Amino acid sequence: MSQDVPLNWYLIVAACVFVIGLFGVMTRRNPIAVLMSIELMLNASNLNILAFWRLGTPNPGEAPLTGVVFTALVIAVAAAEVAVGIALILVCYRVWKSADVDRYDSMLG
Amino acid sequence: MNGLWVSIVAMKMAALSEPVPWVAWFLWLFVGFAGLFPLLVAYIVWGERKVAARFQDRIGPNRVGPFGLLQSIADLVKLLFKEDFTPARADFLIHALAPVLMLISAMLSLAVIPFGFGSVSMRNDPVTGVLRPTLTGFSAVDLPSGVPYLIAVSSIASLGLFLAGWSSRNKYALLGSMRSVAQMVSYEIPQVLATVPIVLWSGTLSLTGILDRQVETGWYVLTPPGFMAFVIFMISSFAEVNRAPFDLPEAESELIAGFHLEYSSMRFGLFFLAEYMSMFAVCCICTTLFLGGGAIPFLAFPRGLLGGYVVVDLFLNLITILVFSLKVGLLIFLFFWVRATLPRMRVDRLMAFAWKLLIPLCLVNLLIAAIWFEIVIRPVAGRPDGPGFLQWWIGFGVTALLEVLAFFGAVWLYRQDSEHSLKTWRSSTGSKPSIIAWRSVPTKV
Amino acid sequence: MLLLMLVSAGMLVAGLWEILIFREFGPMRGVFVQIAGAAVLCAVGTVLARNLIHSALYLVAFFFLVACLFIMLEAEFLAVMQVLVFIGAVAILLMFGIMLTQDVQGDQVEAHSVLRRLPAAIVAIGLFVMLAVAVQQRPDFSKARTERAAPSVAARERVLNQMPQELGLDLMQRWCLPFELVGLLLTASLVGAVALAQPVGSLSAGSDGTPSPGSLTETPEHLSREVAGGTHSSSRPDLVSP
Repeated sequence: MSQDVPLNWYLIVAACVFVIGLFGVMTRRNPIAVLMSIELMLNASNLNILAFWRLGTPNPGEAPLTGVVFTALVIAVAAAEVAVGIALILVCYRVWKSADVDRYDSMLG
Repeated sequence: MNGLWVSIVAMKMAALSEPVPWVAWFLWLFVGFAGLFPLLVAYIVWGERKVAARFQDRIGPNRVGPFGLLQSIADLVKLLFKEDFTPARADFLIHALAPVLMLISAMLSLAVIPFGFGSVSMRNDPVTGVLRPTLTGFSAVDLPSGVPYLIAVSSIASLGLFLAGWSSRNKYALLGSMRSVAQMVSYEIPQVLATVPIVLWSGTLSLTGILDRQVETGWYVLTPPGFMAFVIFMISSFAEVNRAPFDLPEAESELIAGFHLEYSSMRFGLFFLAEYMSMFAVCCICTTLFLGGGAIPFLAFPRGLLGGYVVVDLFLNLITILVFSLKVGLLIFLFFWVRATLPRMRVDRLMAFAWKLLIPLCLVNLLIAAIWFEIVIRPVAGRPDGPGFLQWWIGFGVTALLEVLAFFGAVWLYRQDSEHSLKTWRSSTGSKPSIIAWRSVPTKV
Repeated sequence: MLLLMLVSAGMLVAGLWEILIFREFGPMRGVFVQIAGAAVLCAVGTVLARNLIHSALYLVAFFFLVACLFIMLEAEFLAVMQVLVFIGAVAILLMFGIMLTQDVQGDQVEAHSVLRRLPAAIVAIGLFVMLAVAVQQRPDFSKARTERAAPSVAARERVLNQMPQELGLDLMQRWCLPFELVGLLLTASLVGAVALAQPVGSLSAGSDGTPSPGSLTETPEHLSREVAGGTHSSSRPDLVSP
């Protein structure tokens, strides 16, 4: 028996976390909780990318650090997303005076 | 969590098929982190009380043991036997977790510090890529990305502070923790930016690599940009570990005791331990990054002798560790000195100081450090004898001039700004600014 | 004495648990199973915890465990970045967000209704089953690395030991454009966040140089006014002290 952790274990874990995050986005009503669930999904995708980079078979001619670069970029984007997200939530809180995504309905037809 | 981290890193090293001496791990964990460092901290506390007493024309603790040497032990026993009290509405688990988090953050940052020189092995030069003898460093772990690791683990402390204030269900504690998180997040930026020139010059993120480069090319604090970075790093470290004059989170006169108001017994003791441990850790980091670790001033002699015999290696490591602790002791004395001398800052001044003076200065300093790199370090990369005499002095003159200009420029701009804001304040409100209302405009919601 | 017994019993149980896990999975897989299991549990906690601060704390633990998984994937630089960015910045920002949009103590709990949850759970489980089946369809995914022929593993082993350096060179050479774009994105988001969070009407007054660092410092101000025995008719009714 080999000691290595196979690729599909990582993929299953990432899928599990992604689905949990999706569930959170659909059920939570507090916008910050929704943001947290989105963070879960982003981390799951990061895990996926890194697992494929480390354990998947690379394409011929591929750069040795593609997955790592990709993950680093995703981390940066996640940070930017949270900063803007929190600012938006604060503005929404000021306008509607509530922290509930169901109340934010000014574009409701 | 510490154990988990250590075991994972060990697992990783085993996976890379490097031989792991498990004995060394156990020694580090149980003799170092569980035994020696807390003991050291107890005597730092004793030292602080003695030094502060001398500054205030007192004698200090002198009852328990000779020179009061056992005072800290007695305090520890007292703390252990006090009643452990948790507020009725507090969040019990988080209340218990917060001090542990702070202690973990301080201890984790000690894990990568090279206290001594270790031995010598052949490694790739970070700048030229040629194999050459390099110090291995006497540290628990030699992480290839040591500098970002230090920043990462020190940011856990702000989380612990926040949770301590939040879980206590006390306004003063919450205020203290909000203040402290704002302060720590702000001062983390100049602290990180001050380490960037060091990384630029060494071409590596590993602390052992940085130590090795310094032994070879001279201490970084002796160069003008390095000196500026050292000063900025020390100032922001004072704020990072919440020491005077930046000890707003626990300002007794305003907030009673700030974030650890609702803590008693050994949980308070843990906060105490964490504060002094992080102070010790910050001094160790500063010594490694700027003061050449355990190197003896103006001598590179231990380096050439290493790697021959085990006995010689052990002896030289002992010497370098002693030199290292001497430097750390001097820095810690600086902490005591500042605390005994300077009054506490005001909150708005504190934030303005970081954002309007330190960060611009850091950015300019980074540019000047790049000039130093181009003049002094890059032309001689890979040569064993280091930078030439003339080159070094040309670099010194140019960068010193630029540093002085940058410093006075930044201070001038900062002064202009604060005077301008004072004027507009007076014209808009017609009164003197009070201490509490540090925000100019009342919030309209 | 009781404490001692409890601690030793806990250590005994933990030791037995470890022995069980390691005998079942072997060292690497055993560590992976524990970390991944804890990470999934923390993710569930994030989504289900009623108190938002608890939710954020579960998220912090999850970030830390993901960093551990990164270390197991031999990308320790990214693990450090994960802790630095997510625990040091994102989690703190989220907690500030919670404090600013809720009762200061953050104890408001939200009610969950089964009606909301059931469809979401069905969709989520359906998606998971799809993903899992898709993953299991590929037999080569389940093989360990040592059993497969991997062409450029040697090149990767080389970069693993100097990951920060190689990553920096790669970012400046091969991936220069994405790197610059991320820099642009970060700058834009910084400016955007400041502009959004600036309270209405303080934009003109905020330019006078007095420290008005946006909404992050609002709450201390309100609190300090209340603490100083000021009016309780604060402009924000939600900040009434308990």
